Amino acid sequence: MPRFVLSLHTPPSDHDTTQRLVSFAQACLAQGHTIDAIFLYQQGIYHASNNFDLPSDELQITDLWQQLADQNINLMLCVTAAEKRGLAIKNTSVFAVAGLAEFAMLASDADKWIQFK
Amino acid sequence: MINVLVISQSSPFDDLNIRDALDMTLIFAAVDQNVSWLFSGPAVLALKKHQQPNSIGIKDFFKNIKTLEIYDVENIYVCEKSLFDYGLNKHDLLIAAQTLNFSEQQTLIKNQKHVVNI
Repeated sequence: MPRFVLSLHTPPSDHDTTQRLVSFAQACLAQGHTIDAIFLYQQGIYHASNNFDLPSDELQITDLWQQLADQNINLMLCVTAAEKRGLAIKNTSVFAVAGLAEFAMLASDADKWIQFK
Repeated sequence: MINVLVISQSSPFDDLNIRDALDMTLIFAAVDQNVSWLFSGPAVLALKKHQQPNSIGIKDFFKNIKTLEIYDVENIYVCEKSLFDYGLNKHDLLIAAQTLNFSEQQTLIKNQKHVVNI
């Protein structure tokens, strides 16, 4: 079964891209494929912010990530991209703080790297 | 060893795109993969010599672009037409880069395992 890595490059305000990534990930899992990592890069790092306070009629981004985390998907926050943007990495909820090298090695081993942006 | 291509298509001061692309390129070199970096459209301006971002309060990342040579990243490519569009030639560039026409760019892309747009 193919192995995928996904990278997210857009901020939480880009609801369409976020939902495309989540739908793709769920479809992969439903077909028995493996997702080795979902990697937050560029503006995507803001998904790991712990300052969300969304009105209930907005897209519940934190719930989407929690659902993926509950399926044991490796959710990674790029520390290099986060530091450059001043994002605090003390509490990154479901995301593991990871180096670029860790992602590059997973991407090198994967069959497909799909970017969402 | 796999072939990975990073494509940049945004101007040097458009968000942190060029710096993110640089980090990605350097890290694939660091984990011993065959990485290439293609500059197209306004991204060719990121390779223009004699820029002083410090003067407008922006970190001088052109210095970091020069480290590609230190880390032996040799596969640096520039879209020939984009260079022409911005009135540049190879001698205006910060580091040694190979110019590619459209069909050469297609071949480059075809030869990759992963292609990413940063």
